[in-house]
Amino acid sequence: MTGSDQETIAGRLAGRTLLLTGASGFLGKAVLGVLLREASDLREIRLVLRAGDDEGALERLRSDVLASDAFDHVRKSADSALAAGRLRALAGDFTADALGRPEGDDALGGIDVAIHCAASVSFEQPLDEIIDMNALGALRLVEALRAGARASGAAEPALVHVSTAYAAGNRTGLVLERPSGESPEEPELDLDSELDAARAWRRDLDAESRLPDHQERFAREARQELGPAGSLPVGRRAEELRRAWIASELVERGRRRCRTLGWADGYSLSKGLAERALCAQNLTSLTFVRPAIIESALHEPRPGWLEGIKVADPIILAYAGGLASRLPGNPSGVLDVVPVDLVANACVVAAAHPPMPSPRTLALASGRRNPITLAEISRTVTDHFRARPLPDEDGAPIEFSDMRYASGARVMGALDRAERALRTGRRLLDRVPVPRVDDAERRLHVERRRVERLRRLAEIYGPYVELDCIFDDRGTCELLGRLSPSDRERLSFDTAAIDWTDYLDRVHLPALRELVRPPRPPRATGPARALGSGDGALPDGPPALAFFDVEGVVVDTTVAHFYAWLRSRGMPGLDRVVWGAGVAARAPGWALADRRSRAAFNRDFYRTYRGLPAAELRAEAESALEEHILPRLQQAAVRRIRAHRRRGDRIVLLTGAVDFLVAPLRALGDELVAARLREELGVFTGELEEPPLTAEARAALATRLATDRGVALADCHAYGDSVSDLPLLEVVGHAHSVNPDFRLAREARRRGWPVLTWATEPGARTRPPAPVAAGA
Amino acid sequence: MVEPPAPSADGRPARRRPAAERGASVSEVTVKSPPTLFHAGESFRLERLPVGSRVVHAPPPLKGLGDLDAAIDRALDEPLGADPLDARLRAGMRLTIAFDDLSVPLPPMRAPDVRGRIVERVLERAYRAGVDDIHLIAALALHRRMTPAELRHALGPAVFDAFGPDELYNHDAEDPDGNVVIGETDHGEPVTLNRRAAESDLLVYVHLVTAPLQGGPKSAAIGLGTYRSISAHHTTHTLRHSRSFMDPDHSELHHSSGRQGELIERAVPVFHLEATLNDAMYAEPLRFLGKPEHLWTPREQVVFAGVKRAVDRMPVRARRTAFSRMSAPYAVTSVTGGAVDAAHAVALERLAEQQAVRVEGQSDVVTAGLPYIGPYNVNSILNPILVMCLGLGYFFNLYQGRPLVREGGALIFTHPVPRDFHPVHHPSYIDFYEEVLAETTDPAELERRFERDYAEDEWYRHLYRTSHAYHGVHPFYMWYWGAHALEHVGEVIFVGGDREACRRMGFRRADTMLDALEMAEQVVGRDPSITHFGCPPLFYCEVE
Repeated sequence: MTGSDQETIAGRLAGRTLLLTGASGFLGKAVLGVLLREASDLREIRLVLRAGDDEGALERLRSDVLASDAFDHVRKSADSALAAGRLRALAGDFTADALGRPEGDDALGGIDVAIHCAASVSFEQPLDEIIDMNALGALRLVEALRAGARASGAAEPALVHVSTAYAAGNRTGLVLERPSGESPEEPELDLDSELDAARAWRRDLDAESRLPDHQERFAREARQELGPAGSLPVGRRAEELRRAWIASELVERGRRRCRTLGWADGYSLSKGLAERALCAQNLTSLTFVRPAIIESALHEPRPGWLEGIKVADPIILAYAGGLASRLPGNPSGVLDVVPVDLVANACVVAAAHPPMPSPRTLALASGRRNPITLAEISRTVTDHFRARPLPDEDGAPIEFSDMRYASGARVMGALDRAERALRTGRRLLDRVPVPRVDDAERRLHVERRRVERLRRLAEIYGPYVELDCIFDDRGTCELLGRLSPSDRERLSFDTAAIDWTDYLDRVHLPALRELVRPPRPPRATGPARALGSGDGALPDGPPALAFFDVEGVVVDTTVAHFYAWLRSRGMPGLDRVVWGAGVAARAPGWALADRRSRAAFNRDFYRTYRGLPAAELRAEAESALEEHILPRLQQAAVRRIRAHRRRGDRIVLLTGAVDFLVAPLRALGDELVAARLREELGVFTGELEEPPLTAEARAALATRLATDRGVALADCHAYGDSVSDLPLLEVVGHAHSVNPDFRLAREARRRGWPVLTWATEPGARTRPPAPVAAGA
Repeated sequence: MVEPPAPSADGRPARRRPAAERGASVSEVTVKSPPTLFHAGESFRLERLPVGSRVVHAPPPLKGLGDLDAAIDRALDEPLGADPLDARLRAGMRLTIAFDDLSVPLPPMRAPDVRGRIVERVLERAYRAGVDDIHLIAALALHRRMTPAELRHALGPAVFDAFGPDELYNHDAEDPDGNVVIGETDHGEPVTLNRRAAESDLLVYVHLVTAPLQGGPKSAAIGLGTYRSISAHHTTHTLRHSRSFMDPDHSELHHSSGRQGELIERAVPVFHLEATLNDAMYAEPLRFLGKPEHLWTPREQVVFAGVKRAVDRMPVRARRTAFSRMSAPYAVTSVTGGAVDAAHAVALERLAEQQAVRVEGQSDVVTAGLPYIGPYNVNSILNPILVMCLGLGYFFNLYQGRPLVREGGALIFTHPVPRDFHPVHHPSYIDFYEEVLAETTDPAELERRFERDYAEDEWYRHLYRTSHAYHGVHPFYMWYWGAHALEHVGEVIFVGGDREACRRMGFRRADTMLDALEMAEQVVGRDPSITHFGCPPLFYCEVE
């Protein structure tokens, strides 16, 4: 290389061909922005993007990369570069050999310098995947570049590899600018054997997850969530739980392996492995750029440019959101943060200034010359969010206490205790029938989610805030000194020049707030609807079937209420009290049975009809309509049924109640499917004529009816209120949950089903009693 | 003061108005006047009206008949314009007795109900003549079916127990086999009738006339009619041209239903019976509520204060129960029988003696307190639509001549207008409130867009026929009932009304009477003339 050090970067890069990977990522976009802005004389910029082919890569370049607001200020030069063919997109996959490009392809030939930004930055990825991507991926790139150089007869290109400051492992004190593996205290590491071991875990865990202990646990949890929905939905959920368990266990094992070796997580270990592997390749020109925690931009493309939540942000948000007030960490420790545009500048400058000697390591960190401690950060964050609090779900400002620090062990201990308490509550709830169980279950769930989130935060980010080290950046300073005065203004990467309080308060935290601001729901216009209405119009579609669960959707009652009404009707006062007490004593048992399986509960419950005179009960049931059904009718359901009628839908009412009790409802729909009791010699046997119509049976019935009438299930509607209706709701195209119990509400939220709130008439409770004949 | 009645144009002597002639029915508010009583649903309010306001009180109750049985016998033996009942009864004939349902009188009459007394005497004669094919039918039109307890109250236990459910039942306007088409009037109004009544050799119709609206030739056409025949005149157009429907001579509703009635009389022999009651709505210890406030004794004032306190502190259901249990110690003032027109004319005269009050001139603002009961919520709940019907339908139309409130004037009612509906009695009202009123409150528009859907809805039809629900179309009729008032007045304000319910129905509401009067001033101008319409007890104004 020729030319003085005072030559500009643009001049140094003029006429060269540059390869950039990871341009769809946060840092990659920033680097591409710098290149488009500063190096218009580059002969060509080639981008490697994940896509099926180069066409697809170009499409991604347009839609995923250039569409970003990071390119607003260089839009013109980007468009002209694209039009002139100076900006090319190549399809490439770093987890495939030769980047998955076809044999004999010369797209990677003639490259002078490559900047490798592509990496997986997830902290919750299985170890094998992240090593494959970050370490092997870098090697694959080198191989492909060498092959391209050989094919075109050019020299081997220079490589700028973006690593991380934490690739050096968890260290205390000064961390030197040396690639991983060069200091004697580091453990011996073999890339292939780590990868093999991590891959083997998948098979092991899959086998382990099928062991009886685990199977039982998955089944138990699935039953807790979906019990009444029937065996198959429970089985499906158990399988989902098993997969989720394998995934989380893979991450956990990977993390444990990394911590054993002395790294914080798979990400930093994989970067360390990559550095070692690249050093072993003996490249003629190799630079490692090692940024600390990358956060929002300081100046370019605009102050506060941020895409996605970065490392330090979840903790800040959890704190400002009032979720956590005690965090693991060392308040006097330095949290090393660096704005993204500084890193991007450093990458481009490193690409223009080949290393002497190679490999060269450039740390981009502030700890040595301009440190900011965790305590200072938390003070700024507190002040910022005290002055401008985040809104809670209702839009009211969230209040939070001062941030306190504790050792990781203490925080984990507190979380363990909280989890144990929640588990106990959960067990209690499953065994003991309590009133308002829905509400208790919901609160328990919210609390569990909170504890889980805190644990994740503590597990993942704990090591970063507990570190007590300073990254040496002498090499970086030296490179900074070689910049020409004009470049120094526009391409500076001097972390000493940052005013941290100002950066946090005015740049980063506002950007973060913008990022997490929930989308504001459109304000309702027009007259406010009264209770029970405003359920929205029905979607258009061909006439089909509409299934309505009766209990809980059409009528606010249960099988047991029907029974109690029927039996206590006409009982003298005292008898009714005694009888009622007897039934009440059995109610908790029924409630628990119902939570486990609706079908089993129905069978169990109908035994209470054993030995009762059939004709008498049928006669009593004649006044069911006005005495029991109409007062509990949810009139919104009637209106909804009528709306379906107008669409031409056929209304099918499904109920677990006995046929003679709900017979009057037949006029409401076109079809009424109810339970039938077996009758022998004028008395009920307590047996059902057919299996109870619950859970999957309803789904099967819906399917059959739809087939019979030749309509598509996708056009059908179904309305249910409990998780036992889940199979029915899943099988139709339009599912609606009405006053859902906690478990169905959760499923409805997951699937995006509408949740309707229907009510009985207040007049039902305030009406005067019907007069009884005097002297009768 | 009292002038002798001058003969009217058609030569008949003009009706005497003893109550109106008493002259004490209209008073003026002075600085010394006690506050004015306003009914407000299941409660009361005492309001001070501005000095100079006019208060129209109900006339005091007339004395009842001394010997009711003798009066009934006289009506049966010496009918007007018809042969005596005995002469029309013969063995082997089919006799049907139809009677008014529980929408009259309000509140229900303390047992024994006069309907039962009359039916008993009719049955006596029928048995004596050897008639054994007798049906008793509650002529309820599109109202809800009466419960056994209610039928028992109306007819008395003896009659009720003597007839089985096949012989004593409610008219079913939706029974496809139970009604027949009689024909069509020369104005094209279809006429239908209960099949049993149409196929009877004699139809005895027992009527209770408690307002000028009721009785007369329209009875059978409506009471035993179907949606098809009733919908001929229960329309926005007819009711806008019935000024008022409490004045049969100027009521398009009466003209139309009268034409139907004539057709029925030609097809079926009818023996018409009409009874009138006095205004004794309140039993002791609340009898004083029927008197003007300045006549309340100190003891009565204490009783009122106690009752109001107790009522206001009761839970809603208990309060509704207490009010719905009240019955009135009415006395019967007349029983008339014979041909429809002749009997009805006499009944109307007797009614006028009790209820007509002469009032001079209209007012800018008319205030009234709406009570807990209307014709369609006996043993039930006065829902918002029924409140509208009671205020703008009944109270506004209780006039002959001109409305008490001037055109463009303001009506101020006191009622809490709770959004409560009886789920058994008024199911279609709930949907009317939620669906129809959310779209429009214009009677003509909702008639055009929604009436048919509700009238022909299978579920409402099912509930009307098998349960105790009003017909699906009934809330629409309630709204048409107020069509004339909606067109006539400039503002309707409910003092103490529920915000959402009043808004939904297109009315305004105020917290106090003073606020309401101020709001009214914005419509009718400063210092308006104010008249308080002191109903109940029931009466009507002849406005000159």
